Amino acid sequence: MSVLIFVDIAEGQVKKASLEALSYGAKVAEQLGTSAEGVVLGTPKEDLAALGKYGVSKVHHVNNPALDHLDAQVYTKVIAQVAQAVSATVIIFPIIWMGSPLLHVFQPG
Amino acid sequence: MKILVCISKTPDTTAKITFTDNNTKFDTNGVQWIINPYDEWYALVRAIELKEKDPSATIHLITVGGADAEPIIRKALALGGDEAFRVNADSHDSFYIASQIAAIAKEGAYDLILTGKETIDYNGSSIGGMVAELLDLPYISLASKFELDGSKATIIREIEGGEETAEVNLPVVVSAAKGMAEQRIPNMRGIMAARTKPLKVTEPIAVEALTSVTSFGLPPAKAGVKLVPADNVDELVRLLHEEAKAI
Repeated sequence: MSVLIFVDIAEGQVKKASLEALSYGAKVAEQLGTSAEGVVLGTPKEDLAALGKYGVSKVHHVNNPALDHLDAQVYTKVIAQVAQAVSATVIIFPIIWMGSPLLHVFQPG
Repeated sequence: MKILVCISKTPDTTAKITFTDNNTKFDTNGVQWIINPYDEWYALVRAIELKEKDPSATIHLITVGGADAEPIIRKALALGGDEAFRVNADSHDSFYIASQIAAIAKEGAYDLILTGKETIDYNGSSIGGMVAELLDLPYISLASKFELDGSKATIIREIEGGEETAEVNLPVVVSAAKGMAEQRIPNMRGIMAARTKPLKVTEPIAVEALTSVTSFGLPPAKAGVKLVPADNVDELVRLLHEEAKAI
């Protein structure tokens, strides 16, 4: 069980809305008595370990330049795989331009 | 080319919003309904423009709603569109609605499915993405421009601080944002023609709603303006610090 938070990056930088999502996800995880974990797709230019200060215990990085640009179908599949691997019961997306197309594309089950 | 445009009804922006049943339901009494502006001005009108360029294209409209949604779908037909579907179900669960749309879309084998970027009542922005996923189609959201060259679409979408150009082969699901087209007003000919255009009512497929609303609340009333005398800087600082929490 875990809370998975999608961390949006643009031109290698973590977006501010994602930091908020991380803090929020960490609080949700605390309430549920589980761990908060982040997921980053593509090639960030930042040190991802620094995201720990927003309350996540782990960051999963899918490092593939093909993920530098949003393709909702591909992103959905990758995030779903990570979600399954960590048995996520809650998945959190920042509501920003990039997050919104992903927000609901998961098919339950 | 076959285009499917998803149409939703939303309360007019001047409607008074109140709730019933212990704040769990939107009170629809006396509410004036309109076509969700993003569905109408951008998704539907762009579809009509595409048909004007390619008269062999067909435009189908779909709404998920009760009989009270029919005036809205007729109005959409008056703007343009060849026929419409109404799935006879009332739900506010996005997955339920998207599943109904996907079921019809699957049968129709559409080249292009257009939605508004969101409805102006529940602001879920969910339907397009869910329909795309249910049909295993690519999804481009927040499109402000849509051009078609054969079966290849070039779409400009809004992103934070700029725009992004994407190319995609049909079939595709696209959610339409401002800029996609200009609002049109139905003319008399369209209104007359809409009366006889086919409106097929189908029963919903069996799908479980995944969410429910536990309660609605109105935003807090605006507090108004506080005037502080120009010579009372201490009070201004105190208010900014303690009430506005700005400093």
